[in-house]
Amino acid sequence: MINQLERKLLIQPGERGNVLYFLFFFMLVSAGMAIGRSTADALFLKRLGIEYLPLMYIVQSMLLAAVSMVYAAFADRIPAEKFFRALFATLIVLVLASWFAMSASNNTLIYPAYYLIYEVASEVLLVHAALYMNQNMNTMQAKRLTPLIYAGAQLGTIAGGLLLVVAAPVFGTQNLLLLWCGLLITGAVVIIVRHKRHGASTHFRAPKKSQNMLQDCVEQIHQGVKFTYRSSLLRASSLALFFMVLSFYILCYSANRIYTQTFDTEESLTRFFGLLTATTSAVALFLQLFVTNRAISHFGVRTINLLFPWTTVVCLTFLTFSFSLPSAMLGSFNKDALMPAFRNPVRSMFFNVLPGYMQGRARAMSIALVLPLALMLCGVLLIVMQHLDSPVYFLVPGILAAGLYLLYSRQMNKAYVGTLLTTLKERLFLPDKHMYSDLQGCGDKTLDEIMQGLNHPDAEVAVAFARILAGSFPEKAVEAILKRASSMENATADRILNMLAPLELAAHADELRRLGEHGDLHLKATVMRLLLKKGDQQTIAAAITQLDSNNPRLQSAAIHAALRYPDAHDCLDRAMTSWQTLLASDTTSRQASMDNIPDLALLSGQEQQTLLSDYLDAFTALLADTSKHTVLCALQGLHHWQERVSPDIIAAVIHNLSSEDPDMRQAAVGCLHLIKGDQCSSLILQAIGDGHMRVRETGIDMLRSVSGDYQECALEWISGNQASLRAQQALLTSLMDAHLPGSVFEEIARSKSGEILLLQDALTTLENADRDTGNAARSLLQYTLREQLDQTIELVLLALESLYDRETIRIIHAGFSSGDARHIANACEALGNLDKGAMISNLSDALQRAAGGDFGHKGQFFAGADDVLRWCADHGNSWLSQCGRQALQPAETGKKHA
Amino acid sequence: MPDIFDRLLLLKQSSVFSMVSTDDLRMVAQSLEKQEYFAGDHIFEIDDQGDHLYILVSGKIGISIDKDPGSENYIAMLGHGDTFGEMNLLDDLPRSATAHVLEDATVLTLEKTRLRGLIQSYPDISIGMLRSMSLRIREVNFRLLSVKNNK
Repeated sequence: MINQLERKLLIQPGERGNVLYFLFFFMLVSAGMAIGRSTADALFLKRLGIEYLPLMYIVQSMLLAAVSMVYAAFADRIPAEKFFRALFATLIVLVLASWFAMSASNNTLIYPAYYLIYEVASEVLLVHAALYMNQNMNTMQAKRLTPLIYAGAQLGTIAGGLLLVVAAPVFGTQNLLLLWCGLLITGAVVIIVRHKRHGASTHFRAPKKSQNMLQDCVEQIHQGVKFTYRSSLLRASSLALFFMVLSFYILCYSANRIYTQTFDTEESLTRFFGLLTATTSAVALFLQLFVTNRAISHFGVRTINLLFPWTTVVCLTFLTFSFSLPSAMLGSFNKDALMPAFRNPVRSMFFNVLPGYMQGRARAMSIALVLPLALMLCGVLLIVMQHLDSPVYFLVPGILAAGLYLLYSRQMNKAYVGTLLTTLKERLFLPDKHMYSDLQGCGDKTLDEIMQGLNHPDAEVAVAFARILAGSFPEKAVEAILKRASSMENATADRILNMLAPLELAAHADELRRLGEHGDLHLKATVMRLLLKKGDQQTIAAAITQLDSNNPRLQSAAIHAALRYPDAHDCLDRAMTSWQTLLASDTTSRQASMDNIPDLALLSGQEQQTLLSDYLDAFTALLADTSKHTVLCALQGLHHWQERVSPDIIAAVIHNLSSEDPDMRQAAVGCLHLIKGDQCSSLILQAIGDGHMRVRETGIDMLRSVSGDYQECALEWISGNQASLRAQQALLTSLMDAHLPGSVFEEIARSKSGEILLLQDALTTLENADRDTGNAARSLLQYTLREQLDQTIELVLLALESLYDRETIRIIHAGFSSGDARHIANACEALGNLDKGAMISNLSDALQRAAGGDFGHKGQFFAGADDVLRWCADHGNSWLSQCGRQALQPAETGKKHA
Repeated sequence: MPDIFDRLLLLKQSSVFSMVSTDDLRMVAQSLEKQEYFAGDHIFEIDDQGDHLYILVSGKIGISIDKDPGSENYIAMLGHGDTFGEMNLLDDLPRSATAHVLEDATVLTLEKTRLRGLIQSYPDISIGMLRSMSLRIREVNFRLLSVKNNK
C-alpha cells in the first residue's frame, strides 16, 4: 500500500525519509507563514488603512534590499540549515516583540512594522527554502519531488488558514502572533534534530571563507549582476521577475482594496483571509499533487513556465472590467493557487540549470536588487494612481507589466536548453576544442601546437603528431616532416616518411633523395618507393640499377620501376628473373616480394601465371612461419591479392582473426575478400564488433569493398540486431558520414528506443523473479542485459547525432555516460527539451529510468522470467543469446551464487 | 553451468572487473588459472614482488598487514568471490599484506603480463577497469564523507 502510494507520488526507494522530512518541515513553515500573513494584512489594513499600502511597498523594497545584502553574504557560504536556524531565531524574537508592543501600547507604528517583518521574512524564507532543497537533492530528484514538497507546504498553509478561521474570533487577531511564534520554535527544533542526525546538506559545497563580509555582500550581488551579462537565461529570468513583481503587487493591492471595502471588522477580515488562504491552498495542493508533475512531464518545463504569466494577464484584465469581489478572488486564486502550483516549482527548475557558483548569487541578486526595484516602482505607481477616479489607471500598467512578464518568460524558455547544455559541458569539463583528428582547416595556433609535437624529443610523440599534420595540414606537412625525419633514427624516419605517400612530393624530390642517401638501405628503399610512385625520372633510372641488388627491398623497388615504366628501360626480362628469384629465396626476400603484388596486374596473362603459383607457395610458407612479423607481412600482401587461394591460406586467415595481437587481426580482416559467401559476411560482422578500434575500422572498409550495397547491408544488420551492439555502433558511425536522409537515423533511434523499453522490462522481470529463485546463470544474464541496455542507449544517442546538432547530443551523451546522477538528470532534461516530440519524449523517459535503475512497467512485454529467457535465447545478438540459452538450461536451476 | 560462465560471474562481481562488459570479460575468463591452496599456506607474503591477482572461488583467506608474515592479526577475512592482490596488476610495488589460507582454498589467478597483453589487444577492458577503479574511489570518498559527518 505504502509502496504503491510512493510509486504514485514518484518517490524512489531510499527517498522516503528525505521526502517525509521535507514535507513536514515545509508544512510547519507554511502554516506559520499563513498565520503571519493573514494577521499582518488584517492588522495593517484595518488598524492603519489600505491607502498606506503603496507606501509600505516602497519601505518594504528598501528593507528587502538591505536584508538581501545580508542574505547574499551567507546564502551559499554556509549550509542552508544553519542559515535557517539563525533566521528562525531572529523571527521568534521579532514576532514576540511585536506582540508585546501591540499588547502594551497603542502606537499604530507597530502594525506597519509587523507587516514589514512578515513581508521580508516571507521573501527570505521562500528563496531560502528553494536553496535548502537544492542543497539536498539533485536535479532529477528536484524535478520529481519539488511539486510534492511544495504540496506539503500547501497542506501547512491550509492548516494555518483553517486555524485562523477558528481561532481569530476566539483569541483575536493580535494574539495569533503567539501561534506563529510557536510554529517557528517547532521548525527550529526539527531542523536542528534532523541535521544533528544526518549531517550537513549533501550537495552543499562551502566556498572560501572571507574576512570582509560587507564587501562580500556587495560583491555577491555585483557578481550576480555580472552573471546576467554572461547568461541569457539569468538575464531573461531577472527581467521576468521584475515584471512579475510589478504585476503581482498591483494584483495584491487591487484585491486587498476590494477586501477591505467588503469586510467591516478586523476579525471578519482575518477569518476571510484564513478561509481564502485555506481554499486557495487546497486548490494549490490538488494541483501540485495531481496536475503539476504530470503537466511538467507532459508539456515540458517551458510550456508550464508560460502558464502563470498568462493567467496574470487574464486576472488583471478581469479586474479592469469588473473591480469587484469575484474578480479579486480570481486574482487571489491566481497568486495563491496557480503561483505556488506552477510558477514556483518551474522557476526553481530554471535556476537549477544555472552553474552552481551562479545560483546563490543569482538568487541574492533577485531578492536584493530586482525584487526591491520592481516593488519600489510598484509603490510609486500606486501612490500616484490610487487617488485617481478609477482603478483602471493602475490596472492598465499592471496588464502591461504582465504582458512583459510573459514576453521575458518566453525568452527564458529560449535560453533554457542552451544554458542546460553549457552548464553540463562546464561540469563535465568537455573541451571547446575539437580533437586533433578533426583539425582540418584550423588556425595557426593549432598548427603551432602540432609543429611543437612533431619536434618533440620523444620519437613516438613525434610520429603521432606527424600523422596529425599529414592528415590536417597536408600543404605544410611534407616540408616539416622531411626536416624532422633528417634528425631521426632510420627506423623512425622510415615510419614517418611512409605518411607522405598520399601527398605532393615533386618539389621535395631532392630533399627526399638526400635523406635516402644518408640512411640505411631500408630507408633508401622506402624513399625510392615514394619517389617511384610519383614517377620521378631520376629515381626510375636509379631504381633499375638495383635489379641485381643484394637487398631484397631495393630489388623489389627495382622490379616495380621496371614494370611500371617499361618504355624507359628495356629490362623486363631481367625484372621477371629477379622477381622469380625473390619468390624462390629466403623469408626476407619473399616478404619484400609482397610489395610487388599490385605489379602483377601489369603483366601479360602468361607471365602472370608463371608467378601466381610461386606467390601461393610464398604465402603458404610465410603464413606458416613462427615469426609474427612474417605472418603479418604475408597477410598484408594478401590484401592486394585478387586470385583464388588455397584452403590452407584461408584457414590461416581465419586463424589469425582470433589472434590476440590486434595488428594480426587487422591484417587478417583485410584478407576477408578472399573468402566468399555467407562465411565472409559473418567474419566481417565479427570483425566490425572486434574489441579493437583499428580492427573494426578495417572491417568497415572490407564491408564497403565486398558488399554490393554497403549502406543497405549496414542498415539491415543494425535494424535486424544481427550484429553485436559494438558492431552496430561502428556501422552507424560509418553511416553517419554517408549523408543519408535524417529519416533513416530517426527510424534507427525509434526502433532502438523500443528495444530499450524491451530490455528494461526484461531486466525488471528477471530481477523480480530472481528474488525468489536466485540462479547464477540468470545473474550473468542480468549483467549482460544491463550492458545491452547501456549500449543500446549509446546507439540511440549516436543515431540522434545525425538528427540534431552533433555537439548538443555529444554533451547529452557525455552527461549520461558520466554516471553522476546530477549530470544524468540534466542530460535527460536537455534531451526531453529537444524538438521532434514523441520519440525524444519516450527516449528521455527511458533514459531517466535507466539512470535511476527504476525500469517500472513490469510485465509490459514479458509474461514472466521464462518468457524473458526465451526471448534472450532467440535474440539476434550472439552473446545475449548464448547467455539466454545457458540460463534456460534446467540442470542449473537452483544453483546459487554467494 | 560451464566453468566459463562461473568464472565470468566471479569476474563481474569482483571490484576490479565489475565495469568491464561480460563480452570483453570472456577473454579475461579464459586467461584465469585455477590454483589450490591448503589451510596454513600463505598465498603471498608482505613485501613479496607480486604479479598475480586472485579471485577466491572457495575456502577462506585472512589478510594481515603486520610486517611479520606469520602474524595472524587479520584486517580482513575473505570468502567466495572476493578479489585480492589486485593493486599489483597496476603498480609494480611489493605486496602490502600477507594472504593466509584459513580453510582449504581454490583460487583463480590472473597474471600481470597476461592482463597487460589482453589490454593491448582489447583496450575496452582497460576502460572498464578504469571505471571500476573510479567507482571504488567514489565509494571510499563516500565512506570518508560519512565518517567525517558522523564525527
